Amino acid sequence: MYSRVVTGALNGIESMLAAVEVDASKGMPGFEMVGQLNNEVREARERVRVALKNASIAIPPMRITVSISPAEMRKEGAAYDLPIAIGVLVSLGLIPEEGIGNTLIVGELGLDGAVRTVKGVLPIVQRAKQEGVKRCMVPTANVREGAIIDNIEIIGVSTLSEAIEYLREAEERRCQLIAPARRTLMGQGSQTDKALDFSEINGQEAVKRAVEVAAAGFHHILMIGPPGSGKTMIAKRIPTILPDLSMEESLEVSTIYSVAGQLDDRNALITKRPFLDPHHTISAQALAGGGRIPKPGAVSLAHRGVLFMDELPEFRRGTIEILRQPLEDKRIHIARTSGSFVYPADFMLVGAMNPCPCGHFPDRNKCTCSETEVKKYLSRISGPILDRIDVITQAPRVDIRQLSATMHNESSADIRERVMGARERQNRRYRGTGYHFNAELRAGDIRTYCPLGTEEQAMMEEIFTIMNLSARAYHKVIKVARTIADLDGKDDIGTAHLGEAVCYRMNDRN
Amino acid sequence: MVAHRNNLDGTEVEWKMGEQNKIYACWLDTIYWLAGGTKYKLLEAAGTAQDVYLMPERHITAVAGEKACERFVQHKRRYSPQKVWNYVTGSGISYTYCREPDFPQKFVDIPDPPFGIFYKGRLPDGCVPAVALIGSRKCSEYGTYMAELFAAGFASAGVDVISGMALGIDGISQRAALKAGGSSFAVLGCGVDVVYPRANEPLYRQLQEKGGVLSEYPPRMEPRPALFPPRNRIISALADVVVVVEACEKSGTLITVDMALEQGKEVYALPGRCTDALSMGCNRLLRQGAMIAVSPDDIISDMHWERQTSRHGRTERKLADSKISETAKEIYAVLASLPVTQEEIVARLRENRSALSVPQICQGLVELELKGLAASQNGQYKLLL
Repeated sequence: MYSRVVTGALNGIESMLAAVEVDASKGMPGFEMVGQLNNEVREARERVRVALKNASIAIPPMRITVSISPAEMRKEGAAYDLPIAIGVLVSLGLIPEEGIGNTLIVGELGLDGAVRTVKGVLPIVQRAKQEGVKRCMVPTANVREGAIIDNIEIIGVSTLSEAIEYLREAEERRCQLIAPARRTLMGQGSQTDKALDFSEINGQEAVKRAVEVAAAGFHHILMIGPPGSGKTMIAKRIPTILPDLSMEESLEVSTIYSVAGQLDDRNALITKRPFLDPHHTISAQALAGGGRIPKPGAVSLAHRGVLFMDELPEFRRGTIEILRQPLEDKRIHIARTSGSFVYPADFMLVGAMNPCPCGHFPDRNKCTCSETEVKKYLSRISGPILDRIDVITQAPRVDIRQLSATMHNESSADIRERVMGARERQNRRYRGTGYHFNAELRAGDIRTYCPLGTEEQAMMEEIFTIMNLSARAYHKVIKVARTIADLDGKDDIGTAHLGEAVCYRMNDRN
Repeated sequence: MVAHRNNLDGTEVEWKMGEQNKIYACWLDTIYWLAGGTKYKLLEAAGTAQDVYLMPERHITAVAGEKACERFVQHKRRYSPQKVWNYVTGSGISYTYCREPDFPQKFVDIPDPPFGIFYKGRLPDGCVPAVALIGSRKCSEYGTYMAELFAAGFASAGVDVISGMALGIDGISQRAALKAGGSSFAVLGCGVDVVYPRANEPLYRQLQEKGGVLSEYPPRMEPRPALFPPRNRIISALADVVVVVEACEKSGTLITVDMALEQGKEVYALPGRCTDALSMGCNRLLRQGAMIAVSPDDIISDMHWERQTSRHGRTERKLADSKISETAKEIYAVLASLPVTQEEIVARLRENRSALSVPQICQGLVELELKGLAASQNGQYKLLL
């Protein structure tokens, strides 16, 4: 007898529906599987056989053929175990065919028949809903993740027997057996440390302001300062002044985390902006994403959030260069033998670095580096990367008096309010243009969206000649000035805004 | 010798002879690793430079030793004096040696004087007072500032600034001297046509226009650590006064000081804070009895030098004249000549109970910068001289 079970397959962060077809017929007893299967999928044969046996179901000596379609796509992962087992049972007549009607099934099987968690449930359920599937059977551990999508029934099963029992039951009595999961947004407390707040940072007012400007226009930012000047502390608090994720963004981010297998029962939906701080020894693959079976890398996991690269020059040169494409296109393209994948990677780059190898330049009393060493250290970050960083700020050493003092500092909430205001202005200005933030403006459009008055134009010319700016630095200053004007609630860029923006350039190299 | 050139009444022969000897002296001076003392001995034994060239081998061995003779013969085999001379003059390099009238008198007075000197630009005028401003390659903001201040002070009083064109204090003071309209001379530890360090290439070119670049080493000689201590004696020889701007406890600068003392020159040192590693050398010199350098004017009056030109150093800037905003004025008041970070500026303003916000301070700083009243460097701000 023939059976067909609908399941889901992942291709990058894209998901699609796949079908597990099983045919059980007379002939030489055997268990064949076809359809460009990876090792993990091929091994499903053994897992399914033993799991069925342990659920007290004996497979009669028949020739069983399993095909997973679409055949041209490479299949990987253990999520096909449960659909194969169900398919076998349907083809043997142990589950009625109408029991699996309009139902998508995913899950990995243990030898004892337990249904284990799988990756990518969120995008698969999303896809299923689009394709008109009514019900999804997923491992219990993935229920919350699936339940984020509404108007589709999510059934969580923890064992194979439970799944069989459910599918054998008549439609109207199923609810009593396993109720469809309801969407809950509980348990996100662990995603962010509530304790983090800008009010805890004494001093560094100039850096705090630079960070506010960067956050408002989604500009990438680089902080330069000696060790212990609070660069990391400030970077960790940047997510607290960014606006909350919208539902749409939240789904996007959660999808990436789902594909990466980083969603669990407690964090089913990512509602806080991600903050990633990869160590500087990170490999190029881990940053970009990849592996034989590509997984999203740090740049994608930081999508819509902050990618904090501490000790930027210590990263391998090749690793930093990988950032070029994501910084430009907001996504990353990975090609491997198993196919090519595109992951979104729209993040705010926050870099931190010491001014020299020993970290104390320009305090010559402490700095032991020669002039050449200092120059060399700075040049470890290539021009193209530096060009894409709009805001550069210096974080000097903090005075001990400031550290111990109890100061009344602005809280993250206060700063965020201003950031939100600036974002609101940008939203209004760029409605329908494809732009979202000032940082994205291309050189050609700067004139359109950042017009300068005569006085401002004169000042820019003066700045350009006196400070010896490059053309790119010139555009950066105008973009940042636009953001400062937005923070100020002004429609036009004023000389004051330009003046402040000039402060955020790199003054040693243009 | 140039003076004789137009003189046709018999002295032309003399000039020709002089020129001829100079070519041979130049040839002698381009022998690598032949000590200056040996060259003097050879010249004394033979009479003229040309005679040195024609000296038989056994005489050379007798005067200078076997090793020197070997080098001498090898050099003779490889290069003819005319070829060497053509190369030197063709590369824009001038040469003079101890028998020439333009050979600086200041060299003659020191122990172990150089035999000859290769130079680009001109030689220092012996009548003009000269100061050697020296210090470490690594220097603090304080050192940078003081070097500029002293160099500009000396230059505008018509005093030549002598140094080694190295990174740090050397280059900074020579640049400042040239900028203030004075002249400056660099003594190199390599061939005069080798730019070392490369970063000072612009300075190297400027020095040739407004002063000179000197070296006792033959052209194309690459810099080596062993070449630098001997060149330090030439720096101190050319100067009447040696001023140490900044030096740590074990600095090469102190070699120059030793040479200067040996040559009987005045040594001044700039006092620094006792805790500053880069001032340790200076403070030690002061403890050992060096003179305290507080301002270039003090040294000029100590030495009883007359100002050659009217002083046009620091022009008084009147804030009222340049139309700047109240904000900028407030910031100007807390800035100093030593660079400070933006954070420090904020802190100082807060101490003055100023209500300026960070964006306002940024704007004020840029305004001062545009008006040429302040400058930023490595993210720090300072008042301009």
